[in-house]
Amino acid sequence: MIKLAFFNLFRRKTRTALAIFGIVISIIALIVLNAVADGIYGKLDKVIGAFQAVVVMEKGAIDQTLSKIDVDLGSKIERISGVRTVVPEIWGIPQTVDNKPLQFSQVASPVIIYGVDIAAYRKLRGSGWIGKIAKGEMLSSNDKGYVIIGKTLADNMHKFVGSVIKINGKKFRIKGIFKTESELLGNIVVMPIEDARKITGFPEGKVSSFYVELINPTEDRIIAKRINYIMGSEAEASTASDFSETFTEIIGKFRMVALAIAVMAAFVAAIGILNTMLMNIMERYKEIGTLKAAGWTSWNIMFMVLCESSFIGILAGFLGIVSGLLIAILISQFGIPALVKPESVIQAFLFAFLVGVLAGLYPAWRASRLNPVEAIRGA
Amino acid sequence: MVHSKTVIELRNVVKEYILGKTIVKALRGVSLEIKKGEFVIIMGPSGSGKSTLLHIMGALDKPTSGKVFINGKDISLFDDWNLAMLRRKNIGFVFQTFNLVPTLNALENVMLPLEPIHMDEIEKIKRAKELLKLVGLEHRMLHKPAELSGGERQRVAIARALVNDPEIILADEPTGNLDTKTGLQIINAMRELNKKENKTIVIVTHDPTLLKYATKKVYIRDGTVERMEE
Repeated sequence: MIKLAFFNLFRRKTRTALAIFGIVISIIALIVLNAVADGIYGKLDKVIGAFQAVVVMEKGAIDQTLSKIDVDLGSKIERISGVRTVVPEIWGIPQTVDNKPLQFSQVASPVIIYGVDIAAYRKLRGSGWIGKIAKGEMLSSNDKGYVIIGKTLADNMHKFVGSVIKINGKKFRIKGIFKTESELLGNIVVMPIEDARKITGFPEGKVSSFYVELINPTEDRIIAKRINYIMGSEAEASTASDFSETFTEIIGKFRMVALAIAVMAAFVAAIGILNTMLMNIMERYKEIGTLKAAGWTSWNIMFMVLCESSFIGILAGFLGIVSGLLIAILISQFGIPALVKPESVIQAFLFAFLVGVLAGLYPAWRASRLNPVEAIRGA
Repeated sequence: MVHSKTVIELRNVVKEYILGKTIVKALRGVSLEIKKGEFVIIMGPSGSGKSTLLHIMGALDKPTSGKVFINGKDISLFDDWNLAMLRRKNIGFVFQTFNLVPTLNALENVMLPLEPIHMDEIEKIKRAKELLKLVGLEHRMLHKPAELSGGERQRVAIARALVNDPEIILADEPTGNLDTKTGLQIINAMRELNKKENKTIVIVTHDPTLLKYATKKVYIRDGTVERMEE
């Protein structure tokens, strides 16, 4: 029965191929969009996992590169109990690196300027945003014109300790290269805060944010609340878990959009399968009548037709997953993060199978209800 | 009480079809008795109701009124599932147009009625091979219908009708699409089944040359049995 159902797919190869193609598109959409969501989430998760502190930035700003707050707030935050060190920061995205503008391939992991008050940063007990220095040295307070860069950036741009890197047209000498778990943080160029202010044109008396190290890192939520209470509308404190929640929410919405696109594509594909199966059955009335004459029950007929539509789903699932994987690999070559998780593959496969089964239900029911005499006559 | 040797009995069977607003009476009170091992030819012109009669005898269709007994059981009381089981176990059909599945080879076509049955795959193949041997097509078992001649296709269809070892074979114009020589081969194959295996054969035809092989001749016209000859 299963064998017959499988062979039936090859009777009208073009028709079957078109029905399969419809689902393949929706599976590719599901795999690739989920891969991008997982890829972005994986990167951000490592960034968030890299710090155990509180970040204070402008209220309502999406991230530090879009935030501007008064530098004077730093001394206010310092006085809040539970706070150990406050580090003023300027974050920015350079217009050019070594005279080259931002490339499309860098959209997902762009080079980021991180200007920091070196003296304050050196007081930190933890490593802050920067990981361990792998080569060279950390900046000191009077290291104007010097930078340290992440290993990812150093590798990508073939930079070494002592090399020169041009940011927004200004030359900086690399004093050290740091290593971090996160690919995003690996693209950071760390420089003294005043250098960052100059090359980004950041207004005087303002900074992007404050990195706030706590006496007891586990109290981050309590201290963040305390800061928010004191700051009022001036600034907003966020913890690692706040960032995590925000990103999870954004990624969750992205996933919903991905699913909606896949469902819409699958709906169209399901109509394609329905049409294919109905036409297949109409052409095989005589055969179905003969099978009924040979003692096949209505359930047997229904099972055979459902097997056929399920095979369309299974084949489409397989092809969609393989194509999706290839596309995910391809786009990751262009710097777009894409991570295909096993659960995404299983989800896509079950989705394709389900579309196949559901689209086959009506044709299977129609075939099973055929009057054997009329079917044999081919009516 | 139906006689124990009677395999098919029809009592005053009426079959009506509704075509639009018209009621077409295909059978107008047919009574007929077929005993085990008989070779029955049902003759009649086109539209006389002979195919309808065959379908009713084969539990493919239900009469509008009247009774149909297969092996003494009143099948008008059967539901669809029981009718399917009856066909599976007791009846084999042979059609004028062979009705083979083009994507399957001869062996797989013969195995089709066994598909829904829980039976070892090797046993199914063995059984189908035996029957292809019986109809002289063992050497052609891996050929698809398109690679077989009309006579060979009909012999595959006969093997398919026999694979469940039914006691009744019902054939609707089995020689209708064949030349005289091939048609004769098919009839001879069916006669052998009748003699050697004691199968009850009922053939519907409008070819009078087949009448000489029958042990019972039923002449049907306008939905009624015109006459019957033993």
